[in-house]
Amino acid sequence: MSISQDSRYAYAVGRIRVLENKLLDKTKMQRLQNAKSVDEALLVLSETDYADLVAKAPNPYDIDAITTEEIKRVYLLIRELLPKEALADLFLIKYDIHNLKVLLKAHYQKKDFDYLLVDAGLVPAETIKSVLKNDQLPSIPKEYYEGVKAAKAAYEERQDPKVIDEVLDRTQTAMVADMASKGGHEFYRRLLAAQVDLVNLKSLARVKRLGRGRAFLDDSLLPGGTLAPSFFTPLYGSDWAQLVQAFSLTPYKAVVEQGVAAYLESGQLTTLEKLADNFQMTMLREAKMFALGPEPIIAYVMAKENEVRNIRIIMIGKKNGVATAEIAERLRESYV
Amino acid sequence: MNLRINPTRMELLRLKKRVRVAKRGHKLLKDKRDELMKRFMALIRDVKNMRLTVEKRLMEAYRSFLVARAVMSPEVLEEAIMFPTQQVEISIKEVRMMSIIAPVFTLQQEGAMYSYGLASSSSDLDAALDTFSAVLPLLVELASVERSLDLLAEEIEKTRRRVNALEYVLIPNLEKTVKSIAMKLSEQERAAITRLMKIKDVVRAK
Repeated sequence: MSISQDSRYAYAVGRIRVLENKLLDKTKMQRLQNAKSVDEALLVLSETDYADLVAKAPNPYDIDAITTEEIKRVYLLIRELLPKEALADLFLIKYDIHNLKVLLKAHYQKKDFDYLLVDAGLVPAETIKSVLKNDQLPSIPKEYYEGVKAAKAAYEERQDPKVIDEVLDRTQTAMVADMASKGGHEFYRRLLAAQVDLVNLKSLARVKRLGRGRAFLDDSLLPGGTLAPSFFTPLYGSDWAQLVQAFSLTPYKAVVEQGVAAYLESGQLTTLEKLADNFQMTMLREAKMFALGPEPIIAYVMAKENEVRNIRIIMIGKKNGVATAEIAERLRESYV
Repeated sequence: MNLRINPTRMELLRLKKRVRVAKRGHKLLKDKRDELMKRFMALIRDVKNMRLTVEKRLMEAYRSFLVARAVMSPEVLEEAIMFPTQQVEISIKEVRMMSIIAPVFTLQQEGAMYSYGLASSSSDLDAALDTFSAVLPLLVELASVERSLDLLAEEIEKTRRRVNALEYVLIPNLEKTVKSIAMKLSEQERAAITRLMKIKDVVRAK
């Protein structure tokens, strides 16, 4: 991307650099984590950028509402900063895909699950709902339309709701990758490829742990990563040591080594999932080196999504009396 | 308390028979109560262990579910599990045990448990479902055993009341009545002899 093109982002990057300073750093996360109760944690949260939301929330204990509001605020900000760019759209597709999954599953069960719809995507949830209800698929983006058609065909053939998720997850990955390519967001494409690899790695470990068979793994693997699905499939039959060996020449060597060691010790894949997220966070930090361009903006949104998840882990843990050490085990690294 | 019965020899014989039957019944009921207690005590130890195991496993399941709930947003979590494919059926059979009819629940699980895609869900959800699925047969078995225990306790209480009624009310009352009839009959006998002797004296004096 040329400097003249990058300069389109100058104002946005300036604003983002200021906002980055308001992200919760390790110290603030530590304080939140060490709070003795939910009330104390809310007090700590009130000293941060979340103060307004905590104060205005009808129920400050409803941390989901607060975090959802915060993330919506971030997407709105990106749209406001870059009105001519579709950068925020990259992060909104997942909400439409979620709504499509909910509506398709509700359709096949003949039940109403409207309360699960999230109105934060590119297309309003109501529009998607009426389009699906009236079978006017061509009036939503082509990729969604094709995704829904493929998901319906797959479900009708196999009568397994899992395939709806799998087909639509593939649609989402392909659509986001395509948008990132068209927008020239190389940094995001690299991030996405790593994300796909890590999702496939986690799927491989989960299917191995559950002993669900190679076909289950094949269905779960997403294309579009730096490692082809064919890299993962043969590893289903191998033991954990061979799996670690297979990843030794990939960038995910440390994630796999430590994640598998933790799994063999505890029987849980929590550490592997955390390490995978931390790996992405390390990649995300490269954005700090870019003076101009979309990278700092992308990194900020993803850092905020990570922060919101960490806050949710802490608050839900506090609410349910989970020990601080146990909460710490699950917290992802912060961007700042 | 004496029973309101005519003090006749016939009644005496009938009451003596009732005392014998009551004593035999009392012994049988006492044996039944002891056997019920024995079974109850054995079962209660099993139930205690079973309940501890089930509670521990449920705690694990809820903890995994809590973590999954923290890592995934509530809508995504619920979307993942909104379309279950596993069918669970519970059939009930009845088993007769020491005059009680105890239910035996049999659980049948059919179909795949993981009805969601892996890309947008967390491994903690798998772990939670795994544990919930493993604990379900134990939970059903516990329900069956606890119900048997309830019925056994009710039966013990009922038998204990019967044993006590026989031991402290019916048998003493019957025995008291038998005794009083016997006394009345001997009194009548003595009166009859005296009367005869008196008549004999009168006849002799003439």
